[in-house]
Amino acid sequence: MSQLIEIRDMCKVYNPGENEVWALNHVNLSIGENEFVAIIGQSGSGKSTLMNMLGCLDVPTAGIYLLHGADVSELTDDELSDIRNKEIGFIFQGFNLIANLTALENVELPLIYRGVGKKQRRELAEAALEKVGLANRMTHKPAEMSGGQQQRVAIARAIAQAPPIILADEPTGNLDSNSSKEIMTILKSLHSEGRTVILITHDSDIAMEAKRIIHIKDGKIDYDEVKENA
Amino acid sequence: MSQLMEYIKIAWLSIRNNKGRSFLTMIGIIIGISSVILIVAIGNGVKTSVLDGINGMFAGQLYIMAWEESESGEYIWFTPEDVEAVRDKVENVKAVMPVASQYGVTANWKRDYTTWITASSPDYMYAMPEPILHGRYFSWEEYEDASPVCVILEESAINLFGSADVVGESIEVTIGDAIVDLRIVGVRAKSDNAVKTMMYYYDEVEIEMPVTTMDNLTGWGLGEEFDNFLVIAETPEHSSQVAQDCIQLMEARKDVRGQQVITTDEFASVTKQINSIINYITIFISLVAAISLVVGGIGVMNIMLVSVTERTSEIGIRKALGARTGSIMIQFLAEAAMITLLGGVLGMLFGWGGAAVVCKIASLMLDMDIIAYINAATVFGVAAFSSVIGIFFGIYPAKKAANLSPIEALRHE
Repeated sequence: MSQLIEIRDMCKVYNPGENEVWALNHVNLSIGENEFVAIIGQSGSGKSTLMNMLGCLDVPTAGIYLLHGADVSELTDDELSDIRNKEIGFIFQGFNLIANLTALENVELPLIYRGVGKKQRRELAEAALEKVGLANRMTHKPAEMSGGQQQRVAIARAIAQAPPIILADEPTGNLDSNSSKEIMTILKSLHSEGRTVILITHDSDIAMEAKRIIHIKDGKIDYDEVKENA
Repeated sequence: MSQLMEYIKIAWLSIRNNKGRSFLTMIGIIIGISSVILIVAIGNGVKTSVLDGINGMFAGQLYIMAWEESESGEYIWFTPEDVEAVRDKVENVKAVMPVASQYGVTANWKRDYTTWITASSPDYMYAMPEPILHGRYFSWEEYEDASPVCVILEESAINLFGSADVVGESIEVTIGDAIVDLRIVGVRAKSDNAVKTMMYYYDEVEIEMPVTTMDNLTGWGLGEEFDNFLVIAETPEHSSQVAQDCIQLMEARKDVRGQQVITTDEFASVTKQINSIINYITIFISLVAAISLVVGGIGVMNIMLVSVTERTSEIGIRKALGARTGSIMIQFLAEAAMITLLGGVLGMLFGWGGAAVVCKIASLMLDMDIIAYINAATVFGVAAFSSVIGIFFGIYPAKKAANLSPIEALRHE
C-alpha cells in the first residue's frame, strides 16, 4: 500500500522556552490510501494537535509531513489553504456550518474556493447532499435542522469536492446515539468507496468501528493496532 | 471573476443579516454625501436659473466706456458719429446707442410721480427683452426731429391711467427745468423674468424717449457727448469679438491706441462671478463633508472590527475549507465597500430629494423655476468615492480577519 500520509519525527511545542508543552513528541506515523483509522486519546493527549497537523491547519515545530510524498511542513498559509481545499474534507464536532447560508450554500463553499463554476458547483453540491440523504433539505438553514442533519450537511460539504482524505474530529460528540449511528454508517460507506477516513475521538466504542486504532498519550503514540476481524 | 461575485454575495448576505447595524454604520457616510449632493444640486439649479435670467436680460450687451484720463490728460467723449462708425464698421452688431438716464416727475390730476427717464435712440428697443405690447417704438424720424414722444412701461401706464392701452395719451413730465407734454406712442410689456423682477427696482413711472428730445428741452447735450455707449451683439457668442472690435475702432478714432483708457464691461463677467461664488460654496461644503466622511469611515472600520470578532469561527471554517488569505480579505473589503457604497447611494437620494424640496419651496417663494439636478459625472464620482472610503477603512479589519490562524478561529465559539 502506497503511503498517503507519512509523518516523521514530528514535534509540536507550545510556549517554547519556559513552561514548554510538548503536544507532539517525536511522532512517527504513516497512513496508506483507503485506510480507516481512529486516533484515540484523552483530552490533552495531543490528538487534537495531531489532527491539526494532519489537516494542514497548523505547522509542526520540527519534523516532516509528507502528503502524497510531498513535504507540506514548510508551506505558506495560502499553499496550506489550497491543500486543505483539494486533499482534505473536514468534519467537526460542532458541525461548523455557516449559520446564514442554506445547506446547499454551505456545501458549495469549498467548491467556491476551488474556483468551480456556478453550474457545476450546484450539481456537485446537490449530488453530495443527496448522498447523505438530505435532497429535501437543500434550502434549509442550519438552525432549521437537527444535529444529525447538520452533521450530514457537514459531511456533504467535506465530500463535495471529492478529497482523498476525510478528517473527522469527534463527529458524533454532539449527537444522540441514533444520529451517531447514521453518521458512522456514512463514514464507513465513504471508506468503502475508497477514501481514507481518519477519525479522531476519545470514545473507544466509536473507535472500534475503525480498522486501525492509534492510541495517543502524552504526545506520543502509545500503541498502533490493526484489527484483523473488522 | 465568478469568485468575486461570490464574495460580493457573501458580503451582501452579511449586511442583510445585520440591517439595523449596517444602516447605523452608514449614517456618517449618508450625512457626508447628502450634504455635498444637497449643495451641489441646489447650486446647479440656482446657477442655471440665475444665468438663464441674466442671459435673458443682458444677452450680448456690452458697454464701451471712456472713464479714464488719456495720456494727454484729457477725458474722451464719444459722439453720435462714433456710434455710427460702430454701426458701419464693426461686424455682428445688432444695435448701438448712447443711453442717458435721468429722474423726472410726471404729474396727473391726482399727484406727482417719480419718473425714471431713459433717453436713447430707437435702437434702445433691443436693449430690453420685453416686447412692445401696444403701439410701436419711437421712430428714427421722431428721433431726428426730436419729437415729444415716449414709450411707457405697462406697470407705469396702469399706475397713471388705470389701464395698459394708453397709446395716444399724453403725460406731463418735468425734466430738469423743462415741463413737456409727451405723447405715448407705445407700451412696453411687463417683465416675466423672475431674476429681473427680483433684482430690479421699478420706479412709479418709467419711460423711454429720444435723447434728442431731452437735449432739446434741457440743453444738456447728453446725446451729443457721452462717456459710454451701449452695443448689442447679434448673439451672446459674438459679444467678445464685438467688444474687441469696438475698442480698437474707438482707440483709433480718439488716437489713444494702447493706452487702455477705453474699456468694456461685458455682462458675461457677471455670470463668471456667480459661477465662482457657487464654486467656493461647494468647495467649502465639500471640506466640511470630508470631515464627516472620515468620521463615517472610522465608524465603518469600528463595525467591521466588531464583525470580524463576531465571525471569527466563520472565518476559521472558511479557512479550513480552503479560503486563502486574499479571499477572506476581499470578502471583508467587499462588505466595507458595500456599506459605504450603499451609504453613498442613500446619501445621494436624500441629498437630491432635499435639494428638490428646497428648490421647489424657493421657486414658489421667488416665483422662479429653480430645478435641482446633479449630473452623471457627480453620481459616478460619489459612488466611486464612497466605495473607496469603504475599502480604505476596511483594510485594517479585513487584514485582521485574513490573518487569523484557522485553528485559533475554529476554537473560537
